[in-house]
Amino acid sequence: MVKVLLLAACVFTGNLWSQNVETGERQGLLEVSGSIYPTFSMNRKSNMNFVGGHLAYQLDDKYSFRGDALIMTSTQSGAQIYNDYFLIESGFTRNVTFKRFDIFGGIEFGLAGMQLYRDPNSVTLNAQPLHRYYQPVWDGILGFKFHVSQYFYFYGEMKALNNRNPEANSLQTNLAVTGGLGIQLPTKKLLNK
Amino acid sequence: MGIRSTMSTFNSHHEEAEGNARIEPDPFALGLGGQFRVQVNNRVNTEWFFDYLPSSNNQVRRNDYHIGWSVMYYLRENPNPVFRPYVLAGHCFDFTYRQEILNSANNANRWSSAVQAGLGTHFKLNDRLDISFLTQYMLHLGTHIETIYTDEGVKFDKIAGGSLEGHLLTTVSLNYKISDLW
Repeated sequence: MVKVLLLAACVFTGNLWSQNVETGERQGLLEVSGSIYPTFSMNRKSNMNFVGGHLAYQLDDKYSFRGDALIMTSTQSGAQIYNDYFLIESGFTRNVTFKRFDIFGGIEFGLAGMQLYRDPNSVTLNAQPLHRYYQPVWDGILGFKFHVSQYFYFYGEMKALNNRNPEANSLQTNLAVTGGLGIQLPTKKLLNK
Repeated sequence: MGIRSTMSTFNSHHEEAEGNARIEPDPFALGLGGQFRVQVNNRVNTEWFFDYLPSSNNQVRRNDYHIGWSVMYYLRENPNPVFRPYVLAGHCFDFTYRQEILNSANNANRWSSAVQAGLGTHFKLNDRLDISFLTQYMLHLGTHIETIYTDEGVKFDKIAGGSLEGHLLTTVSLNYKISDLW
C-alpha cells in the first residue's frame, strides 16, 4: 500500500519522471479518454448519440495500440436504425508529431452487438422477430491531439464505422466525431527510472 | 500476434431458377478474426487463425467460422524489407450456420474441412509492427448447404458427399511481434 501511495505521489508531483511531450517524445504514454460521439449515418438520414472512450498505449513515438468501446444512447434526429448498439474494437494508429501537436490516423477492427429498430407502425417489420446480432466492424480514424502537459491532452477525432446490415445485403457506414480532454501517464519513463 | 478483417465472396453458385424455386449466390461477408504467427526460419512462417464471417440478405443470415493454419513462404531472402511478399497454403475447419430471418427455427448447419492457398505481403510499419494484405482461395470439401428460395419461403438443402464449395478471401491484418523465440 505504501509503495502504491509513493508511486502515485511520484506520478502526480514534480518533474522527476517528466516526459518531454513538448519536444515530441511520445513513447510509453498510456492514454485514456471518455466522451460523447455524435454519429451520422452515411446511408440513411439518422443522427445518433454514442458515449464511449478509448485506451491507447504509445509503442514508440510514431505508433500506438488502441482499444475503443462505444454504446448508443439515443437517436438525435431522423429515422432510428438501431434499438441498441454497442461496439468494442482495437487497432493501431500512426502519429505525425510537431512538438506538442500530433496528427494521427489508423484503422481498427472490432465487433458490434446490435438490435435493429422496428417501426411500431410497420406491419411487415413487426412480423419479424427481434434478433441480437454480432457484426464485425472495420473503421478508419483521423484526428489530432494537443499535449497540454505530460498528464493531459486535448483531442478531436472522427471515425468511420463500417458494418454490414445484419438483415440485408448492404453496408452501413456511420461517421462518429468526438473530442475533449484526455488523460495520459508517462509509464515508460516511470518504469525505466 | 494480430487482428484481422476478412472480406469473403462466395462464388460456388450462380443464380439458378427451376419452377418457382431459385438458388442465389450467397452475399458478401465482412469478417473479424485474429491470428498468431510462429516463424520457423528466415523464409518460412506459420499462421494460426480464426475468422467469424457473417453475411445476410433480406431473408437469410449465414454465419461462417474458420479455424485453421497456413504455411507462408517468403519470396525475398531479406528478413526486414518494407514489403515482404509471400505465398501461402494451408488447411482449415469450417462451420456454417444458416437461418431464415423470419423464422429462426428454420436453420441448418454443417462442419467441413477446407484447403486454402494465396498470395500476400507484409508492409513493415516498424521493427515490431506490420500490416499484411492477403488474397486466398478457400475450397471446402464436405457436405454443402444450399439455400432454395421459393414462393412459400426458404428451404435449406444439405447436399452430402464431396461437393466442392469455394470462396475468395481478402484479408487485412495488423500484427505485432511479441518476442524473438530463437
